[in-house]
Amino acid sequence: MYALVDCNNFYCSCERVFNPKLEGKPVVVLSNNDGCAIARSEEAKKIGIVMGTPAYLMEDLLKAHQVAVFSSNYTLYGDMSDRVMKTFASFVPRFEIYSIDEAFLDLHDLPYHDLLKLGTAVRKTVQQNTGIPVTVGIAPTKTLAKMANRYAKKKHKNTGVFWAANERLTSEMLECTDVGDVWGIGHQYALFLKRNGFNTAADFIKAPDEWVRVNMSVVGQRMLNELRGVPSIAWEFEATTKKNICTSRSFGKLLTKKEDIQEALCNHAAACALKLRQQKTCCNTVHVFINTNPHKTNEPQYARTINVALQSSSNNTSEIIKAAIQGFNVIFSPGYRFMKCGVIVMDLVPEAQVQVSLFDGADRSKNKIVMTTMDKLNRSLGKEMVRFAIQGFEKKFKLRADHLSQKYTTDINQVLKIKI
Amino acid sequence: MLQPFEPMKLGYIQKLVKLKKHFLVSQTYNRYAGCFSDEDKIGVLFSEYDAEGQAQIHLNAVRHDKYASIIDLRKPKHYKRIVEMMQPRSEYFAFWAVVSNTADLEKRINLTYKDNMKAYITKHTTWRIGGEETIRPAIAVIFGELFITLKYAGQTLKVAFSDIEKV
Repeated sequence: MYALVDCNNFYCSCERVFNPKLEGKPVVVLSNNDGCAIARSEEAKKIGIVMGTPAYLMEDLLKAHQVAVFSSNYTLYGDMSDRVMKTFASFVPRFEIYSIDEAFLDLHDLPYHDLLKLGTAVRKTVQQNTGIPVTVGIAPTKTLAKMANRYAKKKHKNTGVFWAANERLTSEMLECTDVGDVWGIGHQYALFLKRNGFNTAADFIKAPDEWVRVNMSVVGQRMLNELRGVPSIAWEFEATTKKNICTSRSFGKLLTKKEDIQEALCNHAAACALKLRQQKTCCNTVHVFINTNPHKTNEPQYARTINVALQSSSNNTSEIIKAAIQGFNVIFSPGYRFMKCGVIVMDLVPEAQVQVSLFDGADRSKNKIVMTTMDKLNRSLGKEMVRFAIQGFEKKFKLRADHLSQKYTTDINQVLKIKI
Repeated sequence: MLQPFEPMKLGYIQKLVKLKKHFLVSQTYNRYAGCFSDEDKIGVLFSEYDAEGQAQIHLNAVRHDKYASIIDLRKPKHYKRIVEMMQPRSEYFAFWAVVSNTADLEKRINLTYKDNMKAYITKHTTWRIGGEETIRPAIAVIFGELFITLKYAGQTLKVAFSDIEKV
């Protein structure tokens, strides 16, 4: 058995934990640069705020209903997520973190049979320990557990737990689930299945195996098996090593000066290098891109990308920054108002399998010590406490975050003060 | 038909109250057929919970059942009703969804339904169990229904006991 535990309106719930006045009131969290709605409380959903709506299009609605608006505070959400996950660890020996707000719990070989009690206990304990409400879906496969969770949110909101414990309950859930809402079925497959008369998940499980294999490949067959209660998706207890790493952000305001954009780019390159070191890989190619705002059609448009090959595989910040600047110098053109830049490190190889170049003049072992020391210092003293001078301090590219809440759990100067 | 559950008694109800297991979920129960002479009575199965939320989840799972309801033993009206149901002249047979001796029941199931289980495994799985290998079935009661758990080579199969009986 699998349980999928998902935090309800996670970002909004995190904000509410430290601002209880918001209970029962509409809350919206905006994306980077306060762009569009990425999380809505139930009350906000009720007044018609749609996921992904740009903030400027819903200004009137937000004012009229006194909606509490927040800029995304990933430091807070990341830390709260960590606390939720730690609570899961007290219930099951193994679980897979699927995203910032959900995890699959492995319920196989547990000493007790009553998964209902387990489900309600998880829900109660997470709420008690972190203040975050969660919904639990329990079923024999990952896909069914995901569906059970969704079904619990839709049909059993008051209890917040749904256990597809027998055939009848599973069928009930399958019948209520549109085929497009099945985990793994995208828009195109949903249209295709509906054209062929499979409107619900219950219809889909009756599809002939051969037909599914021919039209939807082995992935479709795996999905079908999962829906029929045969586990076909493997556990991923450890996060898989990434094949590419991208760091990119839109600027808080449009930038024109080369130095300002370069500063942003160097910070992205440094972030990529750190991620490479964290997953113990090195890259062979650095991809750099810059672009103007494609939505400002009245302004001149410019978008360029470039690949810079490294002489030798590396995860050294200085080398990756150097390569990024080299590429940036080639693609930058003055006279435009730039909106975004980014760095992608590609062709990754494990750190232990790096092919050393005969003409490589760098002192690799010394560089490694420098990087390890820098990472250690940043871990203990704070993010980016030690950095390369070219990364700058001005941060003109900084994200717009006009409604940012405090770092209640990670910054000692911002913890809540209570008057007694 | 196997009847594994304990007939409900007034003493059990009093004990449940003492243990603060105040919530009972009722549902239709037909497994008593052949156990009693008075077959006209209606079988009702009760499952106990200490939290209303859990009882509500059970109720959601059996909500299409004619006799599905939550009984709160703290409410005098509910308590009185359940006591009435246990009277000899009542029109109900009341059972409690607990097994008095799990080991004994598992042994009984092994003896009586061994062939059914073998047939079920052959028909519904790809397990190829060797002559010297043994599978020990375990029982579980989920939402008032009896399930058998079979484990073999790292795989687990949870089957409604009624499906094993049907084979």
